Amino acid sequence: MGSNDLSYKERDRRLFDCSSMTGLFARKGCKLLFCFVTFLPLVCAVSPAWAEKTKTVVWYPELTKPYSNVFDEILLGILSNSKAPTVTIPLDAGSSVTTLRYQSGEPLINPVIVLGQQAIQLAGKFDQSYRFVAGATYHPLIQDNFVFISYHPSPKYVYRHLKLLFPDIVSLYVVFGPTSNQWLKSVALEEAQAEGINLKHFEAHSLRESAQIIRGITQGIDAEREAVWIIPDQSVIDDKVIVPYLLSEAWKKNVVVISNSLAHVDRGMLFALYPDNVRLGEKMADISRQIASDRYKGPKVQALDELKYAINVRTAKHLGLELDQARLKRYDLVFPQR
Amino acid sequence: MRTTYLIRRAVRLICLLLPLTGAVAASVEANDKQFLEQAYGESRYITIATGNQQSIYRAPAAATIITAEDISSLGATTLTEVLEIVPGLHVTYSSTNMNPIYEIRGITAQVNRKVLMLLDGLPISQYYLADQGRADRGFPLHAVQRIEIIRGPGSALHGADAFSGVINIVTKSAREINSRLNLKMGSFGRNALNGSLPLEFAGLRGAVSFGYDAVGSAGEQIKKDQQSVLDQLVGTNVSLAPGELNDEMKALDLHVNFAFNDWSLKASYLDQFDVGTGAGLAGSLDSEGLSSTTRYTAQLSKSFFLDQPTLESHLQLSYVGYTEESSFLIAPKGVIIPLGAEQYFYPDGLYTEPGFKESHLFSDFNITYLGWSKHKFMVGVGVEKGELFDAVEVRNYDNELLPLPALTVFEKEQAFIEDEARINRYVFLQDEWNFLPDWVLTSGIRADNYSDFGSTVNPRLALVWHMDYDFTAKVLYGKAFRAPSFGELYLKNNPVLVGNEDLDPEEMEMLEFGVSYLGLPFYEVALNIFYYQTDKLIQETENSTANLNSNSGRGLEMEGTYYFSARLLLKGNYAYQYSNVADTAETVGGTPRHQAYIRSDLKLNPKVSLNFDVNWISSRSLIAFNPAYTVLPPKKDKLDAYASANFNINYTYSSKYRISLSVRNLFDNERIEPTDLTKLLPNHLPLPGRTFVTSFSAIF
Repeated sequence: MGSNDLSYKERDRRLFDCSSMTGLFARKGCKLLFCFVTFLPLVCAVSPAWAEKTKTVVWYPELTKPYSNVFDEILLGILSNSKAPTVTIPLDAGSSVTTLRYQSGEPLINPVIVLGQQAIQLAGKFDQSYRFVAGATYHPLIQDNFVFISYHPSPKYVYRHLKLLFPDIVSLYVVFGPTSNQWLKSVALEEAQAEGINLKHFEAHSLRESAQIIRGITQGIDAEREAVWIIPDQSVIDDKVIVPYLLSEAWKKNVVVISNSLAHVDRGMLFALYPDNVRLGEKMADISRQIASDRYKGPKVQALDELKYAINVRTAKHLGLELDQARLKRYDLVFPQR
Repeated sequence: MRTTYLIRRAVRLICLLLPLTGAVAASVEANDKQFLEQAYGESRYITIATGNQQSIYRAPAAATIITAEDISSLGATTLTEVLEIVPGLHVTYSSTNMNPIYEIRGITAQVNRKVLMLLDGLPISQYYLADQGRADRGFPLHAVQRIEIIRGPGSALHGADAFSGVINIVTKSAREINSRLNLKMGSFGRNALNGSLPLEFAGLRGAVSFGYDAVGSAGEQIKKDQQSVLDQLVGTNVSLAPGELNDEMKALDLHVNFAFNDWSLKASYLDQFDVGTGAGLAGSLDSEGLSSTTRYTAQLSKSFFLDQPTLESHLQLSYVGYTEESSFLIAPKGVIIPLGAEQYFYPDGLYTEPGFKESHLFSDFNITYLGWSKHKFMVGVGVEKGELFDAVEVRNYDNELLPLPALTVFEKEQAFIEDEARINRYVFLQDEWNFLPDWVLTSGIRADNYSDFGSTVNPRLALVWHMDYDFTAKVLYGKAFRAPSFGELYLKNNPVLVGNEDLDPEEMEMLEFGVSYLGLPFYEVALNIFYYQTDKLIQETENSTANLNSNSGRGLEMEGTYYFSARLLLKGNYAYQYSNVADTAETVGGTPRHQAYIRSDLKLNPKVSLNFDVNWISSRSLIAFNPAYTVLPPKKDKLDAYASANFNINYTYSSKYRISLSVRNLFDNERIEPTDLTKLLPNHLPLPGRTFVTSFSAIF
């Protein structure tokens, strides 16, 4: 709630600061006063056009709480790191290519920052003269005029954190679903190798198949050296049967199970990495600026490196993990909260 | 028929509002919402992940947390409107001033003195009656972030008065406050305005919240009062009954908080004023009397060793001050009172204006050490130093109740209580020992030394076994005490009651067994079974106070939460308790033996959310007639059960504006609370009927 409220305040402040040339000059102090007065007619003539051309436009879905909190945090990050005037355009049922083109203007120097599934789908319908930095969803749109930051936590940080807590673990089981994107799989495998983790990956096409795979994994697992990683995907991981079964087996056999979902950590999985939305926003503003000045050299699609950490202390204790206070304080969320 | 009609009207109201709610937008938003639910696991984890919620260490206990979201979805304005959510907690009222009394597990009192009330961890009970003041009508909730309610004794950690439970009201910190204005209007002339403003300068982060709330009398009728009985006896006709219960009130509050590095400062001001006398000070309707209680608090805290892995420490210095003034027309104008063989005439009635002030200073320092493997060890020391002073009473009768020719000032040694001071020094230890995998033993002990009535030592033990990933069992034992109030100890110059300086603190021991289960996908159930014994209970005798009874009680509480979907939350609980005077079969009456609560919280679409809850209170047997108090035995030996349904609808427009309508006691059911301990009202105390409140909020 608080961060959301802050975002309003911060957003208004930034919008005011950035769009008002007077405010900009005032900040520079008295020295600029002379220039300001001298070149006033010129400034008045040029500034609207200049501001229009260099503005950063953000499209985001207008949602209710608590969903809106996520986008408010990302917007806060964008606004706090955006050097250009920023215009935020909430999308609603009436948003279309036509309305967005009208609201956003002609192709701009800065790419448009698009957040969420609806915004990305609409962005995909624009021609290549528009450039986009997209995020806050899982499914990338792979096009030349897009840079996409997935909402999937970067697997390398998951591996590193696992290694930090359990240095003896060398293998990690994971089940991908039919809808999992190939890109995520290849990143997960590539980064596992780099981090010294043997990623034992399975592919399931149904819940039944996934249940069999999970049963097989839990039956033969070596709890000392192997762990299980759950990537939420409703087609292969369900909270009614598979998750309770896995948690129950893991508790009995002291198996480390980690997840990408906070709900799973609340219910007994050891830890999850989840998005740091404010930093994601800051990064998107950075990338947008770099693209505008043709300095962007990064990948077209990338996993999320801006992360927070959550842990279940009850499970940690069960697994014999000694977490001192200093280490616990580094976690952004500690479960159970009751 | 009437109920059906009301339901029909409610449904029609909802249907009228629905087209306004932008239902079309829902389908477009669905993708992004579904995605976020998948990413975080469930919508409430978005709130957790994006909030400023701090994980708080809580000692193992039967605890309930009421969040700011709960308060908003229930449409509640004061504390009394949210506490029925808690299993085994019932809110009843004193017939004098309609002061709320929070009964936990069937433990009750004439005023709210058996539950420790904390504001941001700071005790807010007066020395005089050990309650929250004559004008207390429930804490205003607009600046509240959450309320933590612990059932069962807590003296091993919190000291005095954590007898039947602890209610800690946590106000919003600077991070949780936005620029907001809220206007409320409703039945019985309710007008309320509150707002908040974050402040930031020179690295200091702060916030200010303010509120004003005023409501008139709900118009409940008192058919017969003490004066009606007296009229019959002496042949007068001066009683104001049948007449209206005076439950009007006004409240003004201000909260300021600042944080700077490891320092934090919180200050608050609450003035509850023009508070009606309810059914009067002594059970006779009083159309003139009013009360006011002003409370000031200031709390400076500093944390140490935040960068140390094995050490943590907190220092807190606090101040709480009270100013209280009342006026009571104890008996109406023209009353004739028989005293002994004589009858005395009071043309202006029995009139009094009592007032007093209090100041409390607290210092508390604690250190937690985590350097020992499998142990978390905490030690703390503290001092509370306070006084009650400037007690004064202006009245038109003397200490024998004989009429005086004019209003006379009684002060200093003539007052109802002289200046009294109390110093309490305490030390406490607590250890959390993870002695086996999945087994944690928490043991604690606290020793308090009071300057006026001596020492008390209170231990607690909690054994928690994490049996499975989803199942936890615990056994709890705790001892608690309630310090005698200054009124109970030192009251004097009063024709009806004087204090007893030899009082000991009330004592309580409780044994509890609890299990909780976290189900997938997303439901939670818990069961607690308890047994307690109280001893040295302070009661009023013929004209003084004494440690008299011992009671024993037992009961259970069941509660469940079902996250049906991201849109629908269902909650419910049932509590049973039975208590009797020790060694006899005599029931401790007045409190409900059964109570049940159900709540559904539905997010109908992105803009509209509905909350509907029903609280059911079983019939209550009344306690045996106490001849010390009054002339009239209770009319019934049992009060009827009642249910009270509440409804709230929130409509959010463009995430900046919100309108809500809340209806309390939707079906206008008759609700009668006992005036058992005082026996002041023959027909007991009626609570308000259907009440509407509309609210408009804007975020800037």
